Amino acid sequence: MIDFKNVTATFSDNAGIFDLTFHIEKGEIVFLMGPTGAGKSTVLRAIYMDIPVQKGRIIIDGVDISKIKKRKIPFFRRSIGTIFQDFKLLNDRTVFENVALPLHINGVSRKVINRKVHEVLERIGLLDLKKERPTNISGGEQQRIAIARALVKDPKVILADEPTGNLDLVTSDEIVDLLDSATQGGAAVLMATHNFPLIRPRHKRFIELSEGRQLA
Amino acid sequence: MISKAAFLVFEGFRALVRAKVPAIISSITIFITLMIFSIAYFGYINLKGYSLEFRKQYRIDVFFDASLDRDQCLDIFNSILLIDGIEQGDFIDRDRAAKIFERYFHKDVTEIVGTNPLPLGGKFEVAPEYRDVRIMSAIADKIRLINGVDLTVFQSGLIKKIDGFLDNLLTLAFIIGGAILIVSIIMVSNTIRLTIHSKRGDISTLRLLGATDRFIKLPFIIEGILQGLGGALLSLMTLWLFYLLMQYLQGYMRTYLISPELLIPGNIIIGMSLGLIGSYRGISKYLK
Repeated sequence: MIDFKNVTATFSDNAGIFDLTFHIEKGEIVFLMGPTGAGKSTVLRAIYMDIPVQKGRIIIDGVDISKIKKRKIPFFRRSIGTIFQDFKLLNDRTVFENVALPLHINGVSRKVINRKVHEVLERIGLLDLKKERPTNISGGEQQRIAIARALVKDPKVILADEPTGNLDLVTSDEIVDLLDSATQGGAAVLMATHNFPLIRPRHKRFIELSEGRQLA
Repeated sequence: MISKAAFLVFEGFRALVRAKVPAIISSITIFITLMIFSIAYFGYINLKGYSLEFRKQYRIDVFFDASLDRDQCLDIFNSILLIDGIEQGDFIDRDRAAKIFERYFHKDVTEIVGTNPLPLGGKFEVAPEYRDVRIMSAIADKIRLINGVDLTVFQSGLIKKIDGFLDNLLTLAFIIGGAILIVSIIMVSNTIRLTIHSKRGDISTLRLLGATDRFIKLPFIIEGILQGLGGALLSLMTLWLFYLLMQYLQGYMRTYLISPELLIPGNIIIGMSLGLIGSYRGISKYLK
């Protein structure tokens, strides 16, 4: 589902990722491990085409993304569910509206939006908060809303950039459970984290990065 | 597709409600622009009206050779009436010329000189579209070449001055109007850029979620159009009060009022266009 073949993507200060090669299967969750500055976020940004790739190829669901034209990037991003450490929820909208946003972008009908948003909010157990604003709910709840926003469009690939970064251990565990459950629908999940104790008991595959290079 | 369009239109309305202060500032900017335009247009209409009234008095006076008799002069008078641009004429025989002399000088010319020495002549009115100093000079030259015409006179100096004054005034109004339009567009786009700047985080999130530039732009553009509409409605309300005042003043001074049929769509179209151009410019610069 996600194929990295000798990928190098660098910034102007020569930081970035170098010669990365890995493969993630459909329905698999893989953790990107490493300290701050190791290149975890760069891997994710390269996948959702926020930074250009200098060398190698990234293939997502059989599509070589380096061949995607700039004006087509938004359409490619619609097929990916992305979760951020700072949630990136829109504070002037309700929980329901935040979760519905990707579906509006995709041009889904109001009726389908209504059904899908209710379904996903029920699945993550936050249906009661649908009329709340993100500023009125806890950090853990905000992150679950961000996950709901990623899941609502049934993506084949889910990218999570330090989704537990600001959360306590119990809430973090719940977040990883939610992401893990998304793989049951066939999605490939790639989660960046520096919290090894969180992922150790799960016995899942992880890719370790240091200074942009793959260690294991 | 319809659902998406409805969502974007709704977003435009919602953005207007959310950012009340910038919206009010933009609407007031557009309102001031439209007021200046409307008052300038009102001034132009009046100036044009007065100028047309004044130009009605533009005429060419012709004096015939003193040796010609009345019938010969009438023939020449009729041939002048056929010249392109001459609308109508008034034949002046010796008796009428004497009466005109008396009106101006309060003396009977026959009593002064012993006989009536005044030449026969004619006053010729020029068609409205020919009431211009260059065209009138050409017509006067044509008349002067006719055999039996002794002298042609028209107030070329005064006409030249009035035409020049009107031309300068219109040029000045055009330059000032253009400058106001540009300043207004810049102000609207800058106000919208302030709104956009405060929402840069949201815009970045929308982009990461797969929103196209068009999807991001459209609510801002709708917001700009609505701000323009707000400014236009405000200016129409003020102009309505101005209209009532002018109607009241009609009893004291002559004014040419702008017809509401022209003013209402004009203000709405210009207001919404200013909002559209300003917001498009603002968001396009930001998304570049």
